[in-house]
Amino acid sequence: AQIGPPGLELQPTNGGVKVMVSPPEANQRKKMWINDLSFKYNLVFWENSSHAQLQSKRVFPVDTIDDLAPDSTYCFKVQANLPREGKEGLFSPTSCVKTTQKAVNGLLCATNLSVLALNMKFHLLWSSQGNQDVNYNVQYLLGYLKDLNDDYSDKWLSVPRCENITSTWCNFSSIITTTGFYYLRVQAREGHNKSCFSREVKVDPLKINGIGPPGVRLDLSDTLLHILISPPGGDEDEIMRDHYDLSYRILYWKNSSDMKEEVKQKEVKQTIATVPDVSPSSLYCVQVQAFSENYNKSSAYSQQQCIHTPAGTPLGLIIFGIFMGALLVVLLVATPLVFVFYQAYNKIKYVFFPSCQPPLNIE
Amino acid sequence: IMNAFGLIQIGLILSSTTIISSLQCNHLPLQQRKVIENSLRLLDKMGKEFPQQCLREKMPFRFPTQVLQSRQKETVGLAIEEIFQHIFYIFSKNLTLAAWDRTALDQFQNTLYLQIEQLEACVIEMHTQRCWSKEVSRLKLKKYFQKIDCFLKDKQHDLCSWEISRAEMRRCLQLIDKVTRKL
Repeated sequence: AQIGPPGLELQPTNGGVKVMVSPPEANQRKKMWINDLSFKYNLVFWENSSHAQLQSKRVFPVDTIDDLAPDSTYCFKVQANLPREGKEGLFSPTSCVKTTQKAVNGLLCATNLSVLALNMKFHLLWSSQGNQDVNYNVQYLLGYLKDLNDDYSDKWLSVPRCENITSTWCNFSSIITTTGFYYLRVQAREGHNKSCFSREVKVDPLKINGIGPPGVRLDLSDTLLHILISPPGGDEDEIMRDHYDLSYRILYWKNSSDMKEEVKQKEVKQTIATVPDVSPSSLYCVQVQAFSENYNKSSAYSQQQCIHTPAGTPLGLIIFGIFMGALLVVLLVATPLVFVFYQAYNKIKYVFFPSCQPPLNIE
Repeated sequence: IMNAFGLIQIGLILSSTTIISSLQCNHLPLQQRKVIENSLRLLDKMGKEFPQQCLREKMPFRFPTQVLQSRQKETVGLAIEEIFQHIFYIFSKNLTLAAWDRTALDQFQNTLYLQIEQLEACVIEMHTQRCWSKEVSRLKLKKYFQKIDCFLKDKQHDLCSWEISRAEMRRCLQLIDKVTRKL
């Protein structure tokens, strides 16, 4: 079966065109393709001039095409595809629209939106374009709303504590849940009537988040060096460990008389690692990095932590001590034993082999 | 014999994981388990206990369990992806009469959608895709969800029809949870 053409509506906006696609069979009672949310729409558009180049873009049912030349005519057509089934639908009829002039308040808009995320603390940063008297309002949209066939323009919500601010950054950790993604935008306002929305930035929390370095503590016992790791984000924050399935890469080396020896590496999953057989009277240094193999992410290395191993007792002294101890034990045990045996021997000899004979005249 | 069979299974699982991992989809199995966990929790959170008066209207939907029982790990992965898409579609309908917690519902949809999108970005081997497209149990799966969709439409998306559908989706996700834990 063939996928029919979708419906297409166009609306010129500031600096671009708003595209509204309605799924094929939109108004039919009996449908062939029941799940119309699984369609992926491919928009093909070109400038209505002689050297027009066809551009192709994957679009949501309601989407905007930016970066179009102002005051020119562009033509659009869209098709609905089902990539998983390898099916491409028919194109809608071509529809053309003329773009408006570039917005006058273009200098008002926030630009260069970027996200900085460390240990699940998310910050949005942007740059203003020189204007001092501007108020910002950061808004977010739940990612899935773009996939629905309805217009999501009224579904944007404000990020708490980032409404009507003058600073150019916002901490939006409060709205983030780990399973799910979001779109963010900044509304710049000057006075009562001038307002401009920035470009949207897509935030996939677990992908964009950076892992911070873990904490390291060292402990010694006999000839063992214990490395105690505290996970990034602190012990209370289970999110990092839970979602990233963190492992730790440990680098350790011996610093003897100002010469650094070969750096050894060890990878562990638990938060305790042990280095056996450390030499006495040496300086051991350790650095730890947390990494997630699943997400292909690693943290920076922690600060170097060093510890001095105590002067060990020389081997000779230990051997001598053990020898003397053994000798003492032997003496303590052997002496009464010898004494007891001697007494027993005497008694037996006295009873069974007496040394004095009775005189011959008594017998 | 048992050892050989076990080795073959391990071999299959290893080979399928290498295919997925070479395409930057390493985090998906772990994330999938989290998605199922969260989805179940949010399904519970969005509404209250199943209303007694709706027990009369219960319909046997009969989820096709054989779709999750394939030997191949990739086929099961594709089946789960499709189930998520169907659930996402059902919950995008008119929910005003259900009167559920909007925040929990939004998060539920958002969670499912992220997983669907990321699974789509992972190109699964063409051969497996074709095999899955022709699977008989896949048609049974489509029929199952169509039945639920029709049921909701016939009842005009009233409270009871939504509660019954929610309970059914819960059962479905629990089955998937069991299967993914075994993998």
